[in-house]
Parts: sequence; C-alpha cells; structure tokens
Amino acid sequence: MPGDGSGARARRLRVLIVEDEILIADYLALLLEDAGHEIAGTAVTAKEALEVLDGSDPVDLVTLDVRLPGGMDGVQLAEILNERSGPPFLFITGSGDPVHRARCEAAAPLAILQKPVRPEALWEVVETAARAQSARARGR
Amino acid sequence: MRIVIADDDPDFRTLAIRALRREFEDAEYIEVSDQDSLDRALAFGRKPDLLVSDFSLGWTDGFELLRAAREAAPECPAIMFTGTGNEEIAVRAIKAGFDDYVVKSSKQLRHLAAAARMAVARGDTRRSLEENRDLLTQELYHRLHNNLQLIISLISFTQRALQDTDAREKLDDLGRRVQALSVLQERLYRGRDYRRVGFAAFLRELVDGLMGVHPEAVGVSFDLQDVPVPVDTAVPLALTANELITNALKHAFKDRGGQLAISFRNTDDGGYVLGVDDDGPGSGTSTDGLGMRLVRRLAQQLGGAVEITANRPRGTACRVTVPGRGRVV
Repeated sequence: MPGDGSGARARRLRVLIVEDEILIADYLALLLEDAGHEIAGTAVTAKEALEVLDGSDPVDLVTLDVRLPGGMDGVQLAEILNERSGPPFLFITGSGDPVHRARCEAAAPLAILQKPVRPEALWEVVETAARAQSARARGR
Repeated sequence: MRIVIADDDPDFRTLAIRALRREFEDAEYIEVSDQDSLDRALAFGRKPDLLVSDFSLGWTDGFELLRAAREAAPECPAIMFTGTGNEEIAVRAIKAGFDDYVVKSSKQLRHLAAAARMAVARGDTRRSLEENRDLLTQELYHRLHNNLQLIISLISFTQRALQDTDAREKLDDLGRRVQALSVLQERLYRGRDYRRVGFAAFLRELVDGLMGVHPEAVGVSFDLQDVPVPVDTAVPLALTANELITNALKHAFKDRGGQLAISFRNTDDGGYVLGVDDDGPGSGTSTDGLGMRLVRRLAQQLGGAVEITANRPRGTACRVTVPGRGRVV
C-alpha cells in the first residue's frame, strides 16, 4: 500500500486529473484516493482543466495526459501552468514519440510516467510532491 | 534541387548535365572529380537530391560515393552512369542500392534524364514510406499503451467490486501479468530494434515494480548478462520471470525478509537460463497453483525445462532453461 509511514506525515493533496479516457481518469482517481489524496476534479480537455484551475477550490497537483482533444495538448497546458506559476504537474502518457517526450521534458514536470502506469510509481511521485508542499507549509 | 555528378572526365560531366537539364532545369549541378570536390559537395550537412556517378573514378569508385551520399541523405536517389561497366557491375550497382544503371553512349544519354526522373520519384516514395512507417509505429504504440492502461483499469474496477479476498488477489495477479507484458513492450519499443529486447534491463524494471508491492525487507541481487532476446522468446520468458518472482515474494519470505537472487545468462548453445533463488522459510512455489502451471506451459512452448530444487539450509531455487535455436529438442 502507498506511503511507508516514515518521516513526517505528508499532507493530503488535491489533485486535478487531465485525461481524455474517462475510465483511465477514474482509475487514476482510485489510485490517488488509495494514497489518501483528494480529487479536485477530472478534465477531458485543457479548457476544462483551466476552468477547474480558475475555480475557487485549490488544486495542489495536476496529472496531465499528453494527447488531448480540443486543440490544446497536455504540454501546452503545462506551459500555461508554468507561465502563471500554477500547481506542479506530472505527465502520464501513452506516447512513446521521442519528440513528444522532449517537449514534455522541456516543460519541467515532476515526472513523466509511461502508460500503463505502475501504481507504486505514481504514489512515489505524489508522495514526494506532498512532502515538498508540507515542508513549504511548515516553513511559512 | 542539388544534383551531384561524379566523373573523372569533364566532357562526360558536361554531357550528363546537358542531358539532365532537360528534366531538371532549375537544379543546382555540383561536379565532383576528386575527394576535395566531394567533401565540398557534402560539407555543412548539404544533402544531395540525386547522385549520378561513374563506376570507376581515379581516386575511388561509385560504390564508395554512394555510401558517402547516402550517409548525408539516406534516401538519396542514385544512378550509375558508366562506360566501363558490364553485367556483373550492373548487378552489383543495383544490389548496392543504385536506383538504375545507364551505359555511357550517345544513344543511352537520352535515357539518363528519364532514368533520373524515375529515380527521384522512387526516392520520394522511399522517404514518404519511411515517414508513414514512423507515424504508424507511433500511433500503434500510443493505442497499445492506452489500451493496456484501459485493461489494467478495468481489472482494477472489477477487483474493487469483489468481496472475496481470494478472488481479489487473483485479479491482482492478473493485473501484474498485464503490467509485466507492458514493461516488456515498452523495452521493445524503446530499443528501436523491434525484433529483440534487452532482457537484463527488463528484469531490473520488472523486479523494481514487483518490489514496490511487497515492501517487507527483501534484498535483491542480480547476476544478469546483457543479451538481447528475440521477441518470440522474450514474451514467454517475461511472463515466466513475472510468475517466479511474484511467487517468491508472496510465499517464500513469510513477511520476514531475506534475499532474492535473480540471474539471467546465455548458454553455450545460444539458449538462456533464468534463475530465481530465495532463502526464505516458505516454499517459493506452490506447485499446484496457476502461476506454476503457466511457468510449465510457457517452458514447454519454448522447448525448455523447469527445475525446482530446495536450497540449503532453506529456500528454493528455480531454473528455467531455454535451448538455443538450431538445437534439436
């Protein structure tokens, strides 16, 4: 199960899932809830994701699919997140295209996870993000 | 368009250019008569769009020139245009990758332009086939991985809907099997050689994933030979490794921890031996379970053998031996 119980208790994160396959989004949501996190929302397009981000509820972390319908892909959405100093994000992608990968890397994500994602790999990335945010919260 | 004309004889270069101008009026013609002019023609990553070369050049030959041109532009169309040729050289030229072979004579000179046009068209086709193939591969890869993710998601939903612990565990095993195949698939694609896969790297990644599921203190040691395995052997072998390692992690250590040793190497006959050894108090295998049945069936498919022995003072040693190709089993 997620979390090894060592160190300070990391905070619960509110995660936005951007994924056009709804069943995959549901699965990712279950995995994140298994690790004690909360789902801030799921979005099928970048536009929907921005609506959630502009809403009143905070978002601590975003998972991004690379290929999205609606004209803007996950990397472009990541660039917007970077421009507006939005929440940290990770890519969860089914694409093996080296050009896609290079674009993903250039957006400085927390991680690039390949589909099908290993639950432990996802938990590890989210746990690290949660610890970093807890540390920052304590420092304030 | 850049056309490289390689010939020792300046008169023939002029004749060839005159003939080609009828077909490619606006092309830039680059005359090559020695190594210096060849270097200049291909300098700064300049790519030729067509090579017309004599067979025998004083300082090199047409085959070397083709190699140089294709290094700069892999799909570059090429024509051998020679007076010293014969049937044997014509066959060699086509086998080496020239698109056509034209004999130097006033009658054949007229054919040079038509041959060049055909060669350029073929080069275009080759290039677009190559691009389409890459696009198709990426599209298939994306679909495959998305679908594998969907399958794993569906297995997980089903598992969560079940009350029975045993049934849930069996679905968990099923999810791990699909995940193991996905890891292999990923390795295969990343290796860019779609026929063989680096099995050592696969085993490390597989174990890395499985260890996360069983966090009790199990140390793992690897003794892996980095040999590429043909894909039709790699798939059954990957599933076998998944079963043996999952079995050991589940049943051997009884939550007490211990050591797991994983080995993989080539045999003298070009086959492989996969070893999974534990020093746990439990049985690393349950001989009547589905896992071991799969291991035996997969070994049978590979024409191989499974050997399970007790380790002293405790633990289990599993060996799967796959014979090399060409050996009569």
